[in-house]
Amino acid sequence: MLLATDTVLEVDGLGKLYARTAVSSRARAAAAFGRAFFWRHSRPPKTLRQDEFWSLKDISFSLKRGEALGVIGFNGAGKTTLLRILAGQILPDVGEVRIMGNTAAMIDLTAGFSGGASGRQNIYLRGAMLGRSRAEIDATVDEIIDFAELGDAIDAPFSTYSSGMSMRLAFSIMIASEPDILFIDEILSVGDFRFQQKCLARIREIRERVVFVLVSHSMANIKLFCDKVIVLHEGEIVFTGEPGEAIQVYEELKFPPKTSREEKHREILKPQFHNEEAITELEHFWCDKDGCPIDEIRSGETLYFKVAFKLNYKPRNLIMGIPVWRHEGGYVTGFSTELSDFSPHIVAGETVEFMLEIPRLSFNQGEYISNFGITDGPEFLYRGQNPVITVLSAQPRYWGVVTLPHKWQQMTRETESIKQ
Amino acid sequence: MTPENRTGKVSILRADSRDRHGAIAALLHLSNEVWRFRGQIWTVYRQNFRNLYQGSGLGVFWNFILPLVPLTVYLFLTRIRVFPSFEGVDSATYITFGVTVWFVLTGFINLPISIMQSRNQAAMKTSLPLSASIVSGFAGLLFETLVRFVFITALIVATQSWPALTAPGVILLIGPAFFLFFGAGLVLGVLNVIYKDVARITTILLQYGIFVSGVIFPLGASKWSVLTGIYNPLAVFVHAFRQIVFQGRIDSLIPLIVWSAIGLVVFALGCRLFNVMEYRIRGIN
Repeated sequence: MLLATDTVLEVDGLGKLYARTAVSSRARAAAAFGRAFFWRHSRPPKTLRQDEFWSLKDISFSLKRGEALGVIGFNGAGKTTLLRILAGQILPDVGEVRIMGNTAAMIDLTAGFSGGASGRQNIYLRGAMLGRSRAEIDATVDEIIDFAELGDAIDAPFSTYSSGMSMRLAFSIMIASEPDILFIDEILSVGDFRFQQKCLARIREIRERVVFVLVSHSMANIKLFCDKVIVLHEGEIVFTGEPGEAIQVYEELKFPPKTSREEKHREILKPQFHNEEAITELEHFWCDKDGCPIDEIRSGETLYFKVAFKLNYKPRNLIMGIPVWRHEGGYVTGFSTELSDFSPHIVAGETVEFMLEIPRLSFNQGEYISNFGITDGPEFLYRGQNPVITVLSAQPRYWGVVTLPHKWQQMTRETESIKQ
Repeated sequence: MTPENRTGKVSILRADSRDRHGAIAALLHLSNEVWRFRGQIWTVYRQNFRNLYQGSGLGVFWNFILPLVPLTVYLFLTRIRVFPSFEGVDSATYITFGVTVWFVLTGFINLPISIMQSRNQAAMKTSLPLSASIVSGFAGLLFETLVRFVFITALIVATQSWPALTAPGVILLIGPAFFLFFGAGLVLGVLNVIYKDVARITTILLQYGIFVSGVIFPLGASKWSVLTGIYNPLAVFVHAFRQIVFQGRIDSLIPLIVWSAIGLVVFALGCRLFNVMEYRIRGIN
């Protein structure tokens, strides 16, 4: 079947079967060997063995030149398997992939490198693996070395490279091959932040010429690079469409609407912990200036937090902290004794009380959930959920999560001349 | 068909993509893969050659020394007169030549098995066809064989066991031997990924095989030895190689022709099975 005009990648009814044990994989391979031996064609699997499952099921989409497809989903959703099939590293069990042009895959970036060979030799090795001639590689080798920022280390054995250096070299080789279709699995795992930005800039540069299929857990990158996004869930496409909508679907999968508020909060606040041998008689809550518990406050007012506990030993470096999230999951800020350079005075076996004061509360309207945590150096003594605090807005209009104190000023000629 | 290609054609990937390939289509496909990845094959071979013994005192010289070790062991044994002279050929030449042929023939079988086993996981991550890895392995075998032949040539001159005029005819035997043993190696290599015992059983059989293939001693005149000389293809080819080089004749011509014909069938079967199964065995460890 031919591809439609301008279509460079077409996936039709793709499925991939996996087994949880090597025994099943071998059994299926043995059956395939038998069929091949007797010149019989393979058939789509009708029945699954006990430990087999569909890693991908009925996947269909197409991409035109210049388009970028994002693939998002949880771990184990089938994203990397899909990419491996598209890259020709494994075959599907059902369905078909049609590809026009040359491809390169950044899935397991350092695969195919030889540890004993130098970085420079590996440029030739990996380049040849991508089907490039020696002359083609010669023409780009300096560019690759420059981009990878390896300097003199390029002639050192690959096995001596740090993981960041190997990733940088691998990315540079791949991007220099200028494929028609590029399959990328988590580009942001390449090197440090600065190098990641450089990679992203390079990808943006070739964006118009190359078709991308990008697997990422970074929703920011998905929004930045992709025209359309598919959401994979348990091997099936549950949504195809605009990045914004796809991310919303993904978030809903992460926190299904049927999940109760309490479950959702538990997921955000992570496991709670209490070392009952070390710390007892513990209470903590949001309160007013008199220490009376509250569950509601107006934006701009002063919020207080009260905590009391008894520690059964003398701590070496006690730190108290309160991380705060919006109730739907966005991390807002945190308050801690360490940040405030406050050293609590603790006497073993005595109940102590502390009060945190947050003047002119800048949180905007909404519900806020938080933990209260106590650590002694690296050791967690306690992490428990605070009651939810609801902030009411004092202003009719606001943006975002917080409203910070700010002031606008009209600049006049007089003020500018004073400055000078 | 591997889409990490630069052909500009439409590549189609489906479960039965290669099922329709007959033996000739499979052979053409594999040849095309090897040609496409020739740069990679050569680079891998050169780097393996350079890097295999990197850091050792003798470095790349180990590539020349190690292939000669088994030959020098047999040479040493013949010099202390453990072996008599055979079939009019000096015993040292007889044995070193036989051992060299043996390494080539068993290399045709063992290489696909070991490469499919060791590269199967890595192949899944790189799109690099296993055929390319197998061929770069053959470059190593070819080099070792050349080193051994240089050694044998020196030995022939030293012992004055001059070859017959028919010696260049050895080239005609390489093709049928390659078809038979490499074809078998491809089938066994695929089977070994599915049934782990295959490689071990093959190793055991070949370790016994060297003693029933006329490599070190000529096969005797007993009925059992005569049958072995007909039904054991390794013995048939080792004997034919040695006779055509040193005696100017081939006694077991009919078994040789029959095994050569079988070799074509095995090679066709091996190419097809490998071609169909390559992607199905990927990732099995």
